[in-house]
Amino acid sequence: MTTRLAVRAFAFIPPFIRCRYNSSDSVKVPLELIRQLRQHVPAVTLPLARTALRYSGLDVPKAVEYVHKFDQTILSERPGKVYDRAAGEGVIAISVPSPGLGAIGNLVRGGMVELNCETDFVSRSGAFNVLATKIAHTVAFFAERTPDEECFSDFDLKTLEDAPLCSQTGDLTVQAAVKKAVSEFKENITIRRAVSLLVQPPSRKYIADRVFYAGWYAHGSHRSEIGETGKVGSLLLLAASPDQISDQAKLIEDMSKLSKNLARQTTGFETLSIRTDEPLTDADSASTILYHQQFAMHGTDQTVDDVLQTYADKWDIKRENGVGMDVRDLRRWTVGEGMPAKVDTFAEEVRKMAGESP
Amino acid sequence: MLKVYAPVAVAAPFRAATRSFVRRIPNPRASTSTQTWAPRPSLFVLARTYASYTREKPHLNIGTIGHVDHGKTTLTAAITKVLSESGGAKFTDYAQIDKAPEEKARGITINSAHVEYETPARHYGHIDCPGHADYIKNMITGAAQMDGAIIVVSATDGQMPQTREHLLLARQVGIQKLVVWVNKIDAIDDPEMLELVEMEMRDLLTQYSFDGEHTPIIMGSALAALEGKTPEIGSERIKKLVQACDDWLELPVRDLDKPFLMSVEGVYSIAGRGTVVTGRVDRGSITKGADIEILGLNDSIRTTITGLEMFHRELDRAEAGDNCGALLRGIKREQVHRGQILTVPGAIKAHKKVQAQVYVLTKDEGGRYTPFVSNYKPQLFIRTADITATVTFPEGTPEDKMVMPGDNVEVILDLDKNVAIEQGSRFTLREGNKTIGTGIVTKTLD
Repeated sequence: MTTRLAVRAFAFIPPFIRCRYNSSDSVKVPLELIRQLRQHVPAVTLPLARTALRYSGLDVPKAVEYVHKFDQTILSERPGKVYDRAAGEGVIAISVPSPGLGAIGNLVRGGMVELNCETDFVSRSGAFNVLATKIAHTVAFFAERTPDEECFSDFDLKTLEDAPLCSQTGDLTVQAAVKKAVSEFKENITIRRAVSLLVQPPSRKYIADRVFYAGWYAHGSHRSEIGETGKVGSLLLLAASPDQISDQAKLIEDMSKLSKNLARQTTGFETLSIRTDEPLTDADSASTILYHQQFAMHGTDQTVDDVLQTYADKWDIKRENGVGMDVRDLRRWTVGEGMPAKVDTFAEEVRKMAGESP
Repeated sequence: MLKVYAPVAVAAPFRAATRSFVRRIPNPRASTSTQTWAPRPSLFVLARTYASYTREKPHLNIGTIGHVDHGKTTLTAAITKVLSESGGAKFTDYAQIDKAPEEKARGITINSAHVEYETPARHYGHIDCPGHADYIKNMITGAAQMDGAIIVVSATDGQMPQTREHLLLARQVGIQKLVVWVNKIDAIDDPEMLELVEMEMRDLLTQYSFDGEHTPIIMGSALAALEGKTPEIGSERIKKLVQACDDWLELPVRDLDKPFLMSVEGVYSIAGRGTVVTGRVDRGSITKGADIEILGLNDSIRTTITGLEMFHRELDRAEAGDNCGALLRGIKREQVHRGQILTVPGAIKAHKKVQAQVYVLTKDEGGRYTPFVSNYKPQLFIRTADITATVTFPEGTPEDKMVMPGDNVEVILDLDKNVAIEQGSRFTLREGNKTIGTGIVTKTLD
């Protein structure tokens, strides 16, 4: 059974890869060329670099092509042992191509994903963060209106994997891009969850509101034009219902500043809910409710609720039951939350390997 | 089993009390102490701590840094095995690294494993952390600071994208010298490939301002060494690696060999003799009659030590780890304050502005619940000094930067008063009665 599987697996491997194992071929490959190739494609392994050069007749551009072709075929193949390892590190990536009021069609469109890997050496690296942002961008791009027009909807991971990766030259799917990253970093890399934010005003779900603005913040240091990444991330929707908009530019400025600060607040303070009508039982539970928190990220002692009221008054908006100038919904994610804590067994493993009794 | 090497401990009380000025000091712990007077050990002990070992051989902490799959564990096991077999060394105990007392008190949790072994020349503490953040935490708290590292690279993959992050880490934790181990060479049939791996590593090391040209790069198979096969690429190469560590990695300067520094804990005036300063000698040594400088808290005075005393006994010399009293010539009690230091003139300077790497404690570690932003004002504690600091961020940091509990962050600290501080000085940040952060100075600015 096993042998048969192995034979089938071998038959599946395209000939240009199979040839790698044909050791009879021994064209001398100059080191300098391997070096050049690795400068073009830094993550290529040495044996592959050598094979690529051999089969492209020591021509570097052709070898680069060969490596890319190899990348394309990298597993739709056997899942290696790398996929069994726990991936508890990573980043939250957020991309908001269209923040709302003032954008084309006043559209709110955004995406947030958690991309996991095994160590923070990888999650710190530029390439990994770029990949995460691109996936978040893809989520935002392919978000579709749901029947009930909820602003947030979980993005199906299977659909996401088959989608073409946005802002990527060539026709790489998200899945292929992730697999490519796995082959480069040799770490298990997985998309754990994805959520999209989409409001197309006028919205049937949020009838009372006229204008929307997205707030987002990722606590970390990687930022680019298409998004940001960090260990903790928040994405939220701020909505307002002014009777008339006297100065749209000013309103946009207010709402973008307010929503950004709200997202920073949500990220910095552990926030579990937006508001409550119930009387508060203790200070602890109050601290996890956004409207009861002191709005520190806005540079004030007032609560979030009070600050929102101030802005409502400024724009002559009446607030009622969480409608007027309010946060309609939010998502706050932390990397690895809910995963079992990693136990470090290094010393234990060394002891076992060295064959010494405790 | 494991003992902390804490130089504060002093043997039995000396009974032969000669004529003493310290005896006349009002004893702060008179009711509880049967042992004669001893100053309270500072809360912020700065001494490095090591796991138990005999102090005959110099000690060095090294770490393995490398990709999960490249054989860090196998290499470490191979080193311990090979060293335990060769006559001159012995296989020592594995245990979780012992924590520094202040770290224990604060309950900072560091994910760090510790293995020990000896060569004929040195004793090694071998540290391994799962991630970048853990190594940084280790460095900041000084729990098990790495003095050198072995970078592990697989011959089959050569350097990887994250190898750059590994070298960056080594730089960040202040490692000057590295040794490279190229593993799994049994899987490579072409010696030219190994040359390439070596060439690339040397390039990369130079890029990250290590000595790429002279850094020892040892190639072998840790697995072969562990399994006792093909010794020419197995155990022989491991021996070569260990030898390279012995020869190339430098020992850290012992506290005792650094210039004298003593933190002032108490100041007393003794009738007929003068002003006595008590405290702990943090490093170096001093003899009676030496010229010293009193430094910190916006004040600097030069004077001479006319007497040294410990446990009612007059001394000629005090050294790192001693708690002692020093009699100062021509100094009034009001001129010296707790929080200042005594030092050899010019050995250390007082600063009002420093750049530092800080670890902000999580709420589970007893720290803050909430984030802070620029212009946050905690208290900075260093040795016995307690100074208000204003936290800002280095140039180029986005304006909306916030720091959350659990973060490692580079900050600029503006101090209320100047204090004797230098690159490598450790401190804590407190707010009310809560330790909210711990840090290490990376640069002095003002």
